[in-house]
Amino acid sequence: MKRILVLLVAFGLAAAEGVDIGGSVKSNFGVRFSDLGVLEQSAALELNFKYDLADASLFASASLSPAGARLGETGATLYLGDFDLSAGNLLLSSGRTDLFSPLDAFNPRDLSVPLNKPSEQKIPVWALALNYYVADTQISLFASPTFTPSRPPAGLWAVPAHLPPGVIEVETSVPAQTIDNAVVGGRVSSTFAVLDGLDVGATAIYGFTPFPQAKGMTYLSSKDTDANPANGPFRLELGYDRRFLLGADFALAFSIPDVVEGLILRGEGAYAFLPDSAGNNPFAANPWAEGVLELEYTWPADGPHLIALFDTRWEKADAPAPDQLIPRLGAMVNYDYGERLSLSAAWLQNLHDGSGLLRPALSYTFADGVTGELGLHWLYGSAASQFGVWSQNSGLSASLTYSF
Amino acid sequence: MRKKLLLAVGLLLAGLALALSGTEVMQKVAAQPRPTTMHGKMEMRLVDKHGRELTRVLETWSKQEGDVEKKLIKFLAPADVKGTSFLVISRNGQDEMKLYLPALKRVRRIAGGQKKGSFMGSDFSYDDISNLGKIEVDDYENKLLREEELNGAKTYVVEARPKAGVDSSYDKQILWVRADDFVPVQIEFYQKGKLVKVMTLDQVQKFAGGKYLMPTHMVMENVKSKHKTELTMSDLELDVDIPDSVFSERFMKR
Repeated sequence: MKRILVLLVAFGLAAAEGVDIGGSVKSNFGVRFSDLGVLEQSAALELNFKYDLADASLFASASLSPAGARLGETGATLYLGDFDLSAGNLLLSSGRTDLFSPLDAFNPRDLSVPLNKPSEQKIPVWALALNYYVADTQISLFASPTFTPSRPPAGLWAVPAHLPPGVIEVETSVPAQTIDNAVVGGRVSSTFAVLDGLDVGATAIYGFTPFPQAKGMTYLSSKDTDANPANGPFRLELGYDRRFLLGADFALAFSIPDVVEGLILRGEGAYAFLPDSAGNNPFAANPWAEGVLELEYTWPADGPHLIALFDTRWEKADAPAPDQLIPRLGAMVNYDYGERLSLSAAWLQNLHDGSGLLRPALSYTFADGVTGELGLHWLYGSAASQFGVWSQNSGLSASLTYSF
Repeated sequence: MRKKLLLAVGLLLAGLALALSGTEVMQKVAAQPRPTTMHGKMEMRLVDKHGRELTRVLETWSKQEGDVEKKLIKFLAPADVKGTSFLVISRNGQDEMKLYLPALKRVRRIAGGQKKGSFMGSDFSYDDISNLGKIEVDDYENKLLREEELNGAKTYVVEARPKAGVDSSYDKQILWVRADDFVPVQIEFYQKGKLVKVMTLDQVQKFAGGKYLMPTHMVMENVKSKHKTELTMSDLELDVDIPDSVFSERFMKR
């Protein structure tokens, strides 16, 4: 109700002079090949408004769909000399790489449909962000007083849960909404005249793991039928561990004389400090590290635009299991055939478990602001693998969007 | 008979003395006073060979300080690209180009091939947009091809070829420069010896009491695809104070 009220307020303000209002109507339909079942059918109305004053701007967005109303990015920014101060339900961005961006970790994600665009998966959170600009350097500090968990894949995308033997109940504890559970972070980024241009950045975020992990098992004596505590039944308790994420990123533009011109090399590296650095405690999260390198190139004269990437993630395992190293390869290619038709394809391959995703798509602009998309997604690999777990959901999807 | 011959030789010599070389024509083009800053709106109408149209509306800011030229372009329409902004900072002939995509909330560095690619689906490349109104006479071998009348005006037709080592999207440009005010009114762009695009500057207006002559309507046509882009400038403000902070990642996001 409160969210709908915000929506109405947005409409009311839209009537005021100087308010910039816009939005989109989007419908999606998807079918999966395995049983020709409907994978997705949705429609949503999104409204955005922005009101710019001399030293401030107000902004709000909300979406309405059959599933309900949802508040999007909403808040205000004050421009105070070299400082910007934003407050509200915010989306913040850090890092530079595309498909995998371990540093872009401030906002939780809505992975209920894991194949949605990464930019659509970010969930805005109530936060305060202060940016300071000096010459070619930007320093950012941000904090969210409350913790918002990410949403795991749901519905047909839900991953089968493998509960330990004897577990009949699962209970998840979310960190209390107290100031000592605030999520805080900072970022410094700067630009240098190196080769054809270099941007570097460093990010630190003190927050929580996005998804819960096992925190303990409680024996449920009142529900025991064989009077043997070793067999359970148990309640599995899940919780979120504190995580300190530290990392750096860069983007370097360069050319190889007489060979190739206009390459962009981007990279990100992050290390997550978690409570169980030695992997001795099965009820505490273990550290991980991830590094991504991607190379971007656009063929001259309106040729295709290619991003090739290599991602490696190391995860500390609980003893005595060996640590895991998960290398992944990816590529994205995009080709604009004129101003209306755009062809694209994305491929991801997990070299650790052999699973992958192939996703060709085309989009067509029918008129200003009216765009249709048709895409195929083929997920392959074993049922226990990263992408193969959804192989039954390989299919076709279509969408139509009107932006105004 | 002798008198007529002398008169003819005299006229020929006078003509030779008055004729300008290609470099001189281009120097006069470059010598036209140009505003140090400019702010205005630009409407791009993309028209395909079937006459179907798409429109983009942009707001632009530009500033020239010595060898440094800065340009910022923000998309106002259509709604699906609104908020996208494009920053070019040119120093000593080197372009630094960045693109802000609001959906990602990130400023991306772009380079190389993209400079020569289409600017948001138009017939202008990123390079064309960032070089609009910029004449680097010394970077080109300029040759006067002929003088001819175009749309009722006398023009010099100059061929400009980039010198070795100059980074250019085109291997040749032919410019029709009005003889009375040295404003280019038509430019042909060649790649690999073939004509690829023709730009017509069909509306040139006086600003600041006639101090500046600025093209306010131009059409770029792709010769092969018959696709064209019409660019109309409006709400132009020249020599206004534009702070450096406009040409920044901060302003791109704003």
